[in-house]
Amino acid sequence: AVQESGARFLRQNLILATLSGRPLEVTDIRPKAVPPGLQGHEANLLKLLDRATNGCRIEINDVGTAIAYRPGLIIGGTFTHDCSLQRGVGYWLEVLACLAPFAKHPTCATLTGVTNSELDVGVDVFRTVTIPLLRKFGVEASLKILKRGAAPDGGGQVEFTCTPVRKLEAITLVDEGKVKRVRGLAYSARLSPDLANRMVRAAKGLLLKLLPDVFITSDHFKGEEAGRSPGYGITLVVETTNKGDVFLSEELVPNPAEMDKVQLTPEDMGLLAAKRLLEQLLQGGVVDRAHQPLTLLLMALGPEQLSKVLLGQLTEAAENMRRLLESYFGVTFSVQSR
Amino acid sequence: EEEADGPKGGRLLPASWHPPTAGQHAAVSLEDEELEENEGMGPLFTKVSTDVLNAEDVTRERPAKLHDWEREDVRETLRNLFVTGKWTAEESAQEGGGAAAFEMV
Repeated sequence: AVQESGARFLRQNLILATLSGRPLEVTDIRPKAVPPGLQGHEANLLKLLDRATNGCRIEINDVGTAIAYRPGLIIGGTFTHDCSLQRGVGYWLEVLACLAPFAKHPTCATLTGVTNSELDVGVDVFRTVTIPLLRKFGVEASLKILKRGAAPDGGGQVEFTCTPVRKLEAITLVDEGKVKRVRGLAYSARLSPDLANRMVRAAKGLLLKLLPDVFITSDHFKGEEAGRSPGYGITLVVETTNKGDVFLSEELVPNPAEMDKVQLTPEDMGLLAAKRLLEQLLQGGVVDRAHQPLTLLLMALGPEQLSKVLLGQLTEAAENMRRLLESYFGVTFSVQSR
Repeated sequence: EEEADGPKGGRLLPASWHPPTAGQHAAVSLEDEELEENEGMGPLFTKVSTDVLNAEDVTRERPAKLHDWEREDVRETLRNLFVTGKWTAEESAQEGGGAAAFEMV
């Protein structure tokens, strides 16, 4: 079995164990925390794995600080899963996006919970960046956003569908091209529609100084499709002259943990989202920071042909994915700096 | 990094360690604080704290610091990444253009 310690990269480990069919043992999961061990969202993720696969065995010790996982076959199928509200549905979607392409049957998963959160990839980024990225590798997938749901009460609902892929395609993504436009979506749910407009105005204010073609839609949700908590957020996506070959986005929603300390106005949020987008552009690369690990994974699982990608500085998650791909699959990357 | 510090930098060896003089070996004191932190594994190993191993599982890592993009000179460093900036001859030749609009809704 593969031995790992700590919960930090639990998702990557579970994904790779499932894809490689190798058993996994994780120890030292928050031994000093109160309460120690696995947290709600991680236990919830194990449930999702149990649902999407057949014949897997999960053993957890009494205090939850160690798990043993023997993967089963990835089955897919149609199911509904209630995600816990500590994390955004992006936390679970990222796992499904890695497993569903290799399932026996098509996957149609309805996930409920928090659609946009500070920590996790939001559903808008998933739909406009992750899905096209999967498509680039030959994976047919889609995401429908049925209801919005903000923290803390969620109430959002999305439907992820994915057709099993026979063979992944090799990619060569080495040229960013030049930024042609910025598109975006600002939304408000259970709050004044004006919040979205204020975020848009601030984000555009900065971006228009570099580029004339900036268009950010503002969207307002009310009633059933607005979820249980008031929320708002902004997503920005870059388009370049190499359209379809660049996957660069940024998203910002209020962070509940910091709300009491620093209250960001919608103007601050719009501006900060735009600044973070520019920061990512400065970093360079064809794929943004949030999608580096997924890209490395799909490159490693691809055909014998060589895949090439241009990335900015690797994130810690991507570095770890690189390390795990080597220990689970023996795949190595050759890195050249430009 | 640790090599740059050298053994006397105190990272690889506890502070009580001195190079042995001829015929004498310096004893490594087991009460040394650094050894204790290391849980007695000796000077060759470093223990990674469980806090690091259990940091939040986040794929979207945000940079800790942002440049001051409101300053024009900072913004101008990005100018040539945009279509509005300078193009090399090679780049202009490549621009095929004419792709359909990317729908965001």
